Amino acid sequence: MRVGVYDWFMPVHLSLATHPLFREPRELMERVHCPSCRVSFAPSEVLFVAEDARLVGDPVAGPAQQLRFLPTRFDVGGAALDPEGARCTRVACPRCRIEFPRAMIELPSAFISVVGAPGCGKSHLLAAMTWGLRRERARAGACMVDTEPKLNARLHRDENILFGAPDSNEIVRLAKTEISGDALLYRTVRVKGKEETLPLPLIFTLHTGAQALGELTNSELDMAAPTKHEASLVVLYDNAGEHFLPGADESTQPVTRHLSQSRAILFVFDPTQDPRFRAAVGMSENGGANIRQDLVLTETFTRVRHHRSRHAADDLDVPLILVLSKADAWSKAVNIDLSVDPYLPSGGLDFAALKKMDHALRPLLEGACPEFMTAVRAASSRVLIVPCSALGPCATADVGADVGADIGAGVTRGVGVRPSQIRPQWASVALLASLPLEVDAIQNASLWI
Amino acid sequence: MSVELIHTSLASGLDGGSGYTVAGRTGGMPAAMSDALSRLSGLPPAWNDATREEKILCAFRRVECAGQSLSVVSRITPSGMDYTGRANRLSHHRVIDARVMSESDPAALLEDDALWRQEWVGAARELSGGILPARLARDDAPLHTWEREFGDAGFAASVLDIIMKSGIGVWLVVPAMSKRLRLAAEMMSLLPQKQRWQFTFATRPVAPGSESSVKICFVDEREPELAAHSAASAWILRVGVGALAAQPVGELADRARHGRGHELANDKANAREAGGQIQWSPPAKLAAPHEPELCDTPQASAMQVGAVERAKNLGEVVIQVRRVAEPSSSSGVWKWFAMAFILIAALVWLAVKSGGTL
Repeated sequence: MRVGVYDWFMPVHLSLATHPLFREPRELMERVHCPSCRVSFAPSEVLFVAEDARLVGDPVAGPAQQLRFLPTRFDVGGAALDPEGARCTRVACPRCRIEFPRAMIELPSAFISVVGAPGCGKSHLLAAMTWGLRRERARAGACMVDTEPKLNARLHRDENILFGAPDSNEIVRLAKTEISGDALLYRTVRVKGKEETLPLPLIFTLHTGAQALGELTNSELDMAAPTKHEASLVVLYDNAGEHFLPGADESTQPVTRHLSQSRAILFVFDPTQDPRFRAAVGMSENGGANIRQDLVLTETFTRVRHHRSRHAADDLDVPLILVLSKADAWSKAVNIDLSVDPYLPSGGLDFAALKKMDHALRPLLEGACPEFMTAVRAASSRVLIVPCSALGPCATADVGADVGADIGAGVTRGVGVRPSQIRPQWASVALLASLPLEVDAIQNASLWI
Repeated sequence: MSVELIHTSLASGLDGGSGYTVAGRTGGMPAAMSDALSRLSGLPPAWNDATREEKILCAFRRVECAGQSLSVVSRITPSGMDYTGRANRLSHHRVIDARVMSESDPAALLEDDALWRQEWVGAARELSGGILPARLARDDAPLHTWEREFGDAGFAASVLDIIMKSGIGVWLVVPAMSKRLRLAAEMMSLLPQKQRWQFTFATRPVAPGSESSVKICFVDEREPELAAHSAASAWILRVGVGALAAQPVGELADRARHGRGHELANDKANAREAGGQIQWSPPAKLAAPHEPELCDTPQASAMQVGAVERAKNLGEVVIQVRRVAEPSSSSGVWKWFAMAFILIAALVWLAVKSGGTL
């Protein structure tokens, strides 16, 4: 580092002002919600994760986890010191002791739940929408980066499968989301002697405004110290569809309780699983995969009401983004064109295009799936319908023969994709529409019912 | 009666749900037990080029259910495509009762493919149950798989020793392509049959500390979950490193290397050296008389298979007795008869002498 002449003669008080001890105190959130167990706590209650290799084992987090502790010693930089004197930076919830990004105590967080029946395409959509937002920050008007990459490992796995080798013609497919046993999706802890399996969320830092649009130079775009008023956290949840089925909300496995904190709910409606919709658009039979998605939606909002302790007659006022997935299979039949993303030339969502699309799809759903639309009206007063295709029109391939050797008998017909043919359409739109700032902006844009 | 549950992805499960759901279970199973077993059904993601065999999770676990501890033996295997065209898995759980525990061991049960479903055909339905046949691993053979994978079968004894002392579960990192279930079965064979049910295990990673965790996981070195933990963690064992750095010593390690036959041969040689006096001792367990059951039903044939297996296992004991008794020219039974005859004669003579009449 170069030291100028001025630095030698800098007054002592100015020199001290730059020292970490005397810098401006960080502004913290008043209360923080744990993204795993949803408990609310003050930043002063946050536990730190010990770094010393000898401090393994925590009574709540588990014997394989590093010790969690409330620090009483700090170094001059303000970092906590564990009982062995190691500098600790990672933090954990005081109740479930699951680690979460430190940024959660510094930035506001918006919880967004991705909900849908089994097999409706939630995992594909999540991978495609986050990948899209990573790549198209200028067009989308927002920029999302992993707050702590280690905590989003599961999403990276899916993104790598679908988008990691863009020229590859090898058929790939995402695994069906497990209901338990996947260490990247769930964590089992012992709270007050009782075991609980909790979800591990996907957490992103969202930058909007000048930073996101790329008006600043790369050197100024410092993700480690974002401009406070233009950054927030987005907490996403990807559950197995089975967890949203009626009766699946268990106290020992409260993996969908995040619904109670959700700022918006993305309900992924798979039209290809609805026999009447298929008939309306002239699609062939799908081999019996007909699921009552209206019941899944009703169950979802019943849980929201229960976990928020709301009166049965209260309006929940949770924005519902109805994502019609697998549009590549039915969009031509209903004459909608998804080849152009609804972004403004200057960046950001084109609300007019969204409104037009919403109005085009609403009569179709009212006609083909009236029971589902009844459930939608009962669930929320703010609904936006967004079609999307996570993989694009050319990507689906029949791979039953390719994978048969691996899977033995009982093969029906597997569906996989060639990464070289993946072209997501409108995949990031639903997430953009549900992002905190956008929800506020469009809630009065006469898009909602 | 054997209690079992099948959990896989179906368009409509036994409880009405779709996706991963209960496809079959023994009739009358309590809902709490069904839920507890369903929670054990997840299959952790494997590494990229894992074969179907390598993805299979075999486990013996203990779970709490309504205040009761259940011993559950599970086999979770990839199983074709589900109704949505995505890769499916099938979890088959069996709750083990006292009868099976008395005559089998968990690893041997898991090694018998005939006892485990590979796929589910048809709609969800209740199962009638049946009788689980006995399966018991041989306890007199050297641990060839341990020797092949780790260079010294004695490490099985060292690992066993660590598990006994460890309060939490451990992960044993095994080389790629290892036969993990065979390693578990061989290690179990070092223990007496009853003690084999005290050691829970899994052949894929199961997070330590949870209710469904196990005492030992045999973890392939390519497992992605392994990378998520510090290599220096004390509960992750590697042969040749840390707690397993030293060459195994002791009686159990010798038995792992040479088998029980080696011990017996040594005993025999020692006895010859001592002057040819053969000490006869009754075997620890004698074969119970067994009538073969003849029936055409699949359950009965399964029982028959079990009986054959049982007889095979017990045969080992009989061979053991013969070996020990070989140098003796006379059978021990006649000695007992002779002693009993002399005793009765002496009693009669005493009675006559003391004035009694016949």
